[in-house]
Amino acid sequence: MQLSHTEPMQPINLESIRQKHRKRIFFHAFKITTGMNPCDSDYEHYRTYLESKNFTLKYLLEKIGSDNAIVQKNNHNVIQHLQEIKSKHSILVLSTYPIENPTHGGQLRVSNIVQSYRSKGHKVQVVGVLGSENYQAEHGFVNYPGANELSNVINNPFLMEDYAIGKLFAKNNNYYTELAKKIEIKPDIIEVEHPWLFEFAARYRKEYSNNSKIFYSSHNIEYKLKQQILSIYLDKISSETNSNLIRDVELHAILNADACICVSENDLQWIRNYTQKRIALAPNGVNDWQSDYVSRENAQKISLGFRYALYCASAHPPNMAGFFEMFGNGFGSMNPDQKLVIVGDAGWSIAGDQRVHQSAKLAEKVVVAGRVDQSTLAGLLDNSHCIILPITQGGGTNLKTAEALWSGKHIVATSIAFRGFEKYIGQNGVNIANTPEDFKKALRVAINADPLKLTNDEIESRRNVLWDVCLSSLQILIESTLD
Amino acid sequence: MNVTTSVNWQRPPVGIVRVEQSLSNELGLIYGKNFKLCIWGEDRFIEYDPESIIQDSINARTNKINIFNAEDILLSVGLDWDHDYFRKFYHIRKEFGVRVVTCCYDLIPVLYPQYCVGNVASLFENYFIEIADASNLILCISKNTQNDLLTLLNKTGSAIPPTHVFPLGDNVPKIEGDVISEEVKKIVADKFILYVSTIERRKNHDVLYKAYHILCEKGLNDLLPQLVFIGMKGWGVEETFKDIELDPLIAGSIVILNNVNDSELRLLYDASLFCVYPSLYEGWGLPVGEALALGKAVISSPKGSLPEVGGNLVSYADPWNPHEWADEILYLTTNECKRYSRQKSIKSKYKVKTWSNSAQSIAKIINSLLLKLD
Repeated sequence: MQLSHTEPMQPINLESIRQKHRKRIFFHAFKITTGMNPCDSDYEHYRTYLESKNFTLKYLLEKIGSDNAIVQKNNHNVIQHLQEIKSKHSILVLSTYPIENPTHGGQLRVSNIVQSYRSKGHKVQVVGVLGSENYQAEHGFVNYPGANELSNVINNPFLMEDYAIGKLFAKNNNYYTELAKKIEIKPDIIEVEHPWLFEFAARYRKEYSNNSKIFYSSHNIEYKLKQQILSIYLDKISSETNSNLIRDVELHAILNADACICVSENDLQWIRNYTQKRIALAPNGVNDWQSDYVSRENAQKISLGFRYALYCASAHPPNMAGFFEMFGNGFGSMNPDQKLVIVGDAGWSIAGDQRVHQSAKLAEKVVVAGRVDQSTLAGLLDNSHCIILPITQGGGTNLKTAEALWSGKHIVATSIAFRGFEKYIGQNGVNIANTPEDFKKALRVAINADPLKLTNDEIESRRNVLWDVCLSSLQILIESTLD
Repeated sequence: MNVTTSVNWQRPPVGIVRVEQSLSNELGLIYGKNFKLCIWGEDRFIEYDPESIIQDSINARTNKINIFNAEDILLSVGLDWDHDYFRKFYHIRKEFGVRVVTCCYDLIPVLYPQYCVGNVASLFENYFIEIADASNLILCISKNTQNDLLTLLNKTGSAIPPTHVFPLGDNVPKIEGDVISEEVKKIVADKFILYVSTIERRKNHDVLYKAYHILCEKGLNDLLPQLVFIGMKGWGVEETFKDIELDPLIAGSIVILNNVNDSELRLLYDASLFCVYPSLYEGWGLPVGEALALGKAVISSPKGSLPEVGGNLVSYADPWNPHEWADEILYLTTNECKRYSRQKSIKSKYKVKTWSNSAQSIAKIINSLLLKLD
């Protein structure tokens, strides 16, 4: 039996296949969205239109998947192939806290950075170690190793857990391997949030991923922040010793990273003292929000119908320290028709602190909202008359400052709270006060003023606090580092 | 005018009670039928008629819940912090359009809580912050008190309403017919130095005892007149009393009288060699004014408002230094010429203030408040 004669196989032109399939996907999407059959000239026009709206191919693929299961099935391989083509780079993000349900500032920042990368078409995986037993388990994260294990790294791991985790997961082979196994991608970039897992990243690159670039993503000047916190709880020698350990880890990250990311001009200048490599300034920001009738009603129930000033803060010690520094020794800023609503874990910490009762009138003015969902937070922000930022310690930039600016409400804040947002100082409704007396007076003026009305220009100028604007430098950093 | 403090006071009127009573009498004369009294009932202010037995009778007859009209002025100068009603002032002002005028005597519980009973600093800070929001005007009994109040209100970010300093009356009445006790008769029969004040830690009777001890140690007992303390016994003086009772050096030199009537007080002032006032802090210092009004030389502490009372008509000694007090007492005791010269200067230069003066000062500021808000 003679085999049928076939045509010799032509070499595969991968690029033409890509173009052909990409066009097919676009045509199909065009038909679904417009109901019309496109022609070739429509392709370029529609492609440009979609890109101008910042729609990615991934978005289209998802849309197709939800509308047409048959197409999805037929195009599965095409889709997968196109995803691999479209995905510009693979980025591994290392963190010591989970980010799927962000509550505190660090989580919000990392969550938004990851979203920003994904919206640009990068493939991103987040792995790490849970830095506290209070964090919920999340895919890609190793559980908190426990205080006993950490005390093998440092005698007293109290307030040094992140540092100890970093050392443990870099030096202990079992822990190192456990974290390394979580990594599912071959990263072009390893981005280390805070310096803790930098040594792990360096070891991983050496062993598995020689071509990867390591970005150090700084959230603040860690050793200075740690020194302020430690000095509250430890004696002078211990707090200095420990903050020096932090400093070593931090400088190691700066010196050995291929590029750095920082949150403020102040931090950038400090990092620049140690490296001439690229540094991207990516301030903290906020996502826009909308409140509705329900969220405003919920907010009204919390505020009990009073006109109120709002303080949004986690239980991070500097948040309480600043609060009591500004409002201790008597609180006369508010008349009997006004309240101070505190959102976040700071509220319960403040309410349980004896200092709130030692300052005249303060306890009766405080309303603790505690942790609230995003909808209620939107309602509280929109119903508030004024937002306060009594931050007297800490580095980096404050997400809550971005939120306050975008809210369009009166703001009473310290200069430290406006670090990184200096260009907004002096703007309508922004009141800076750095002493307790000035802060309290400024709050009295703000809470009794008419509701703030910003002009269109003023609103536009505040658009720079939105995350997509704040993080726009990261894509440039990636392209300039890798290309 | 809120007279809750006076109406509830069971003893002879002293201090703040006397201020409230004296002012209500004088303001009644100034304003006539436009001046009414009220007291705090269980949950609201009710009109007070001193002649009426049932105080709620007016409201019961008229079924009136609220006694205030939009242009009324509510004047409250009593022991307001001891009652709940001061928390209502803000709402009375806001809901009924009433102009509220309150009074600040001193900030001693805030500035010197160690001289007070119990943990009062926070209570009084609460009170002052609250009345700052509630008041259209706060009366102060001295510039020092005014400064202390404004410092507190600025420090706490509180409202800063207008303030007005008014003088307290310092005329000591001469009342005929009161009985003079044998004890008082015995005291006035010989030379003595007088200290009129509640006997409590802040008033610093201790420095006078120590000054006398120092002088007696030097063998000057025979030169020293008796030192007479007149006043109700307060707190924190048990050890000083024990020292006075047991110290053999000063035995018999110091006499303490807790209860005297107005005639006895006037007699004691008139008969004294001179008066002393070593208080650690004051919001005014009424006995200094009373002594000066009667032409008596005074050695005073310079703390708080005291220099405002007598200015340079008074000599001053550091209340923390018993040696200074010993020197000043010895000087004034043994230098009759200097003492007479001071008395002469006081009689010619000191302007006696009456309660009528006090009321006139308050009426003037209230009238300007009425004009401003019309």
